[in-house]
Amino acid sequence: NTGPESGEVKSEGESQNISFTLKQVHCQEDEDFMSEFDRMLADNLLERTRETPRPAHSHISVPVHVKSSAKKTYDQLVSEGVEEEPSKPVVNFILLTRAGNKQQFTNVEMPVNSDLVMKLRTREEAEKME
Amino acid sequence: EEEEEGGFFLKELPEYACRYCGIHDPSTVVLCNICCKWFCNGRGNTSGSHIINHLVRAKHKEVSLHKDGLVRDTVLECYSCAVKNVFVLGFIPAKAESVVVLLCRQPCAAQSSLRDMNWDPEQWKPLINDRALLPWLVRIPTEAEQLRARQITAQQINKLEELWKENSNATFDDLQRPGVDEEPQQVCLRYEDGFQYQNIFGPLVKLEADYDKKLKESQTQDKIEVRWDVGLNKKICAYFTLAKTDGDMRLMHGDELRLRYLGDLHKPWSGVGHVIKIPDNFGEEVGIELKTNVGVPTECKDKFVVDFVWKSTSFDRMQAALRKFAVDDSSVSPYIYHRLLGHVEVDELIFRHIHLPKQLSAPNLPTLNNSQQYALKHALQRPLSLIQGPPGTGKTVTSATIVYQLVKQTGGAVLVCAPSNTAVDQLTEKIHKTGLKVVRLCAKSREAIDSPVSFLALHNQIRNLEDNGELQKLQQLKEETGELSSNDEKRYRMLKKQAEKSLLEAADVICCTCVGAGDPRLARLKFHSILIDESMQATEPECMVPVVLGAKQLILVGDHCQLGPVVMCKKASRAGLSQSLFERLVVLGIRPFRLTVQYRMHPQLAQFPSNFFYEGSLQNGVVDADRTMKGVNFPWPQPDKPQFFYVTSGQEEIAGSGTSYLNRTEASCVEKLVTRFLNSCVKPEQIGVITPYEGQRAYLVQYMQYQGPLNQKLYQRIEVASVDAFQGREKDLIIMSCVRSNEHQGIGFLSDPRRLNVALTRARYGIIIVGNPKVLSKQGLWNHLLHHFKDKKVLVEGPLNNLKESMMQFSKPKRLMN
Ligand SMILES: [Zn+2]
Ligand SMILES: [Zn+2]
Ligand SMILES: [Zn+2]
Repeated sequence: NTGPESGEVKSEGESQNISFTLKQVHCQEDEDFMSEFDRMLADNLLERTRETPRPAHSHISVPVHVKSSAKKTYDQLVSEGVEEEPSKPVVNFILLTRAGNKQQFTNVEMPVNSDLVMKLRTREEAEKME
Repeated sequence: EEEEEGGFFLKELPEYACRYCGIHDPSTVVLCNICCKWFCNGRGNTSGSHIINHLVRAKHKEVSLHKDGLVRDTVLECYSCAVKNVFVLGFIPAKAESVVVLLCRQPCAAQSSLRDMNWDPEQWKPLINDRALLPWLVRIPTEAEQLRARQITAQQINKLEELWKENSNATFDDLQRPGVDEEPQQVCLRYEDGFQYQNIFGPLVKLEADYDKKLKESQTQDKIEVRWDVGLNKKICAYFTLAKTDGDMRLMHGDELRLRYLGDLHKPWSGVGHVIKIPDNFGEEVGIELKTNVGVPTECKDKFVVDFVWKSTSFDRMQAALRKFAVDDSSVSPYIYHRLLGHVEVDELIFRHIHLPKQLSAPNLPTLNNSQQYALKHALQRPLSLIQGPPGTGKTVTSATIVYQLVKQTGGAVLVCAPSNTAVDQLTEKIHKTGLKVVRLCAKSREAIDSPVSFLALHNQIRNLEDNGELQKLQQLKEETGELSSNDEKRYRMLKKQAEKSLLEAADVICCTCVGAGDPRLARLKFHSILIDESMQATEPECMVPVVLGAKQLILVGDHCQLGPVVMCKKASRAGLSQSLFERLVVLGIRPFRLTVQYRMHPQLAQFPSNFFYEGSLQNGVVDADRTMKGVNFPWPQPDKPQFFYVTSGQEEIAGSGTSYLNRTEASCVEKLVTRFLNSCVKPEQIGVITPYEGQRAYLVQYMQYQGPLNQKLYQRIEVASVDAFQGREKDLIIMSCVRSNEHQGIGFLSDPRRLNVALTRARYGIIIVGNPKVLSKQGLWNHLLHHFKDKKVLVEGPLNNLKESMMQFSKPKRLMN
């Protein structure tokens, strides 16, 4: 065999980098979209305050089994997230939703630098200080 | 036995693909509950993600996630009040646990009771942030994914939303669909994305298909007399003569014809067969091999009708390839994708870490010269390369060596294609010499046609498999009896399929025509490296048929200074279908690597083509002595320059068919030249006669055989054909009859410089052009050629044994605009 290791060409091939990026194109249609979006957001929120619908499930508690798994320290959560995919700095959270009368729990991965994760961390640190 | 075109090849976008851009990874898409259309969470080049763009424009507010997404099958609704309006939905975290709950902002997240239950309502955050859904709910497609998708603009989004108000099923394609009478959209140099590419080429392929269909189906001929015969494989063959089908219609080996019986000596019958013989020097008969021997009325001789059977296969495969290129991101690597679309931002990539082999050659093939070695290195080091092979520069050997080195380097199978069967066969033969395991895949309709590499054809390799006794027994039985019982037939097909599969999987190299690469038998295979020879003769969609089989390294070999693809539909041709991919990539600035040493022509013959088509870059790998015919007594006007222009002024006539031309004076000149060569011991096989018109071809063949003083059989063995038929080949001597001799009209075919280049570069030892300089000199390039001949004192007239320099004057050459 006069050629190199077979893997080499392939790995080069896979990493064929494309050096250009998505560019946002400014145009009237896009400007219109942005202002329409702002208006829709404001209108919809405003509508809710006027209608004042009644919440059906005003009592929201975190079920025990979820609590135990979710009751972890920030450091534990980070290491769990990191272990799975080292390249993605994420923290596992549980998302609580409802479909009809059924509660649903889904694992979601929050980015480490999100507000949510930051707050969780500062609170824990504060608790530790006490 | 019809070829099944596998459904799996026709990959369509899934239902959950973004209606704007086509992205379809389940984790990136969202369903609009109101109109039941899916959109992705990427923003492309707009300022909001596609789903938000849609919701805002359509005033829709409710969505569901994909069941295979980040959060399974969830209609997004408030945990507490069940409102589904995503514009008011958000979430709050628990105080101490890593739990969040989906809640609307008003009133649910504002309830004071929440605080007592360890929630933190102060931290309410909306689900829509920065005009996209939160990335932990719906993944934002990566930049690479978005760049690979359709690049839809805000204007197009607007238009599409408008269309949906009238027709909810409208698609992006409906935005660009031209009306029936409109001219098709012109091809571009660059394309936004694979969808635009498909949208432009799809209609052109359709136009060409429709034209081809109309042409073939209008060719029915009646009152046909049939001569029956039985082939070596026991199949019944029918021979008959068709009235001249001049013009566009060209019958080819493997075409299908239907024969019908209309007489009263037999009940009505019709049968389909593949063409196995076309009109040639040996007779004007057409031969077909019937698909089945059952019920053929071989006792009847006349009252038959012949129909041309149009097959959509090749066009279907091109359409499928275009579609695959647009929607299937595994069809080609991202790099190839963006380069082919002409995205200028993509830098040229070089495989830096590749170890070039020390031995830049392949077993049993000639050692490469310098420019061939550079071409080889150039190709091995790049994911996309163009190699330009001017006439006689050893393109086939270079290609075969590249294929050999690719197999050695990647260890994977290489796909090798060319537009024509002849070119594929030539290359297959060379690659086989290197000792690689080669399979030549033929269309089923061509299995009966013999070629120098028949033994490498898949169907023959199966026949010769050693360890498959049952398959061979059935095969033998089938050949002996013509038909198998239905159970045996089933078993036979199954065994054959298995054997085909294992042979294809074990091959180092698979060779087929471009269209042949769309064969269902290849549909499950992926090819990392693909080489396309003679690629300038394929239309772009034709080239794409092999390319979409997974190309990560693509080598296009060709020469954009020689003839391009044949496109019969004028509309499609005008719109640019006749420009090859090779040519477009050259225009895009990808520099083709040129082979520069020619080994074919006498150096004197190479001079003009080198100067006018290759910027004077062609060097000669042969010297005058190598290309001087020994012992041949021929009155060359300048013996050290074996070429001349033979001045005639014969009249052109419209040929019998009404659509072609002939020129009797030129025909008689050609016969005299040919006879002179034959008399001085030149073999008929060494001579090629080129004429651009079918009318002249038929007339010349007749004229030589009946008016020539020598044995008819000698003239029969001389090949008389169009320029196009000689592309890719060579002859020792070429005589060209120009035919057109009309002061008022153009010179038609002859005005294409690429055709002239091909015509001038077929001869090894000598070339003679017969024509009317007065007419030809009006065209720029011909004017230069005539002056070139005049300067060399080889523009001559008079009887052959007393040729004299012609004193004819014609206009000065104009500066050529290239
Ligand atoms: Zn909708
Ligand atoms: Zn999209
Ligand atoms: Zn609510």
